[in-house]
Amino acid sequence: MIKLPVLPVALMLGWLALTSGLTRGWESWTYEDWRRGEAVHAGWVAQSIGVNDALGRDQSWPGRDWRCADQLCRIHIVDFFYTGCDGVCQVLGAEFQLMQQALIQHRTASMHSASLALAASRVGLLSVSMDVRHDDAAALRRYAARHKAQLGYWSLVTPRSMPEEAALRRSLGVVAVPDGLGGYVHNASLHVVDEHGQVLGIFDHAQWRDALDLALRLARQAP
Amino acid sequence: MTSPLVWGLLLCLSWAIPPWRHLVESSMSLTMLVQLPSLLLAGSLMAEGLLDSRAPEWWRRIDTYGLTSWTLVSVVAALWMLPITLDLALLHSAWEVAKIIGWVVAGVASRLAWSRTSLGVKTFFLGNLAWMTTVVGLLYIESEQRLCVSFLLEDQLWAGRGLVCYGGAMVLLVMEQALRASDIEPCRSGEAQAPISHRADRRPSTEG
Repeated sequence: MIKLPVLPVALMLGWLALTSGLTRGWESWTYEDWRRGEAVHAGWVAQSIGVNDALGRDQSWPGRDWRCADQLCRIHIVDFFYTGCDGVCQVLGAEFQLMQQALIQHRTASMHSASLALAASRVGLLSVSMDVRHDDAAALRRYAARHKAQLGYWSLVTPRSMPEEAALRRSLGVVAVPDGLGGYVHNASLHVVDEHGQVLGIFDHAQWRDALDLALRLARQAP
Repeated sequence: MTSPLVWGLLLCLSWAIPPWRHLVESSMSLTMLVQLPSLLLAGSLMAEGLLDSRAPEWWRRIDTYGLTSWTLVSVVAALWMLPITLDLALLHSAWEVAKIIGWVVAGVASRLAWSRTSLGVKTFFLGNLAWMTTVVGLLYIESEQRLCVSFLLEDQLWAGRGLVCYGGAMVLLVMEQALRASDIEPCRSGEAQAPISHRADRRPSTEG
């Protein structure tokens, strides 16, 4: 009679169970895919840190007192960038500009839909610099001017210190790798985050319309 | 002469030196092509030094034909070829510890099983490891995007090329093992090789 090799079979089943759990049913083979699912599923919360904005104001984010023009911000769409980046950060900047235009349109032209206008006024765009040493308020203003960022719609901030910057990125699973040319390679994704810092969605930067739709829907539902 | 156990321990402990570990782990190619095989080698050397490459009796009982050992090596290798685990090992220390323990244990198991495993079992597992390594290497080469957030695209390309070479090396190892185990004598000049049926006839009869 053939004897069943119990341990080898158990090892293989263990491997299947482990990888199935890890990759969410063999769908997320990369950390970035896993992070996008896990952050929402497990309710990741952005670490609250001190930041300086383009006007040199000292604030903390995430926070309930963050203002989007005339309303308190309920939802933020957050990306990570640095002003010296000529690659994906410029693409992110262009996409933020498109989201800003959409928000302005919703706020001003949605007379037939007051709830959409209200939702749009509760959504803010936030770009967080990863280059604490070089991105001071003047550098942020130059980047803002290049991408026509308007105060009240789109905020650009630099964390107060490198440990705070690292803590925020770590809480969101954002990794920045030195590219050997003085810059960084990093996850170019959009994080939809509520006023408590809870992550409600992470999208690829090319899916900015989906990120904006989710942010507007959540801002509409907010009390 | 320094014993294999000392070499194995030194190799293993070298990964506890932060600058050396960070240097290697900052590169996908160095992690996959240097660190992981060195942990496997460390386990193998420790098994040689501690147990003289002979499996204890209790392990022999649960490791019939070396199947358990080779399955362990295969699942460890398969797990650490996934891009997600490479990133998790860098971002969460528990995964880093699991990586080191997993590869060292796989090294111990492979050494203890090596001399007890038949050519057929070796060929099956090494062949599977060879194609898996090659396919993963080709995927790394073909991917136009970074599969790991902790490494650069160019580095991923080198890791892929290295894995393809390792896959080829494993095929050569299988062939070497097959030749070593083969009872076919190399043909001498002017001497025709005996047909297989004739050689079979020369085997001692087992009939009473």
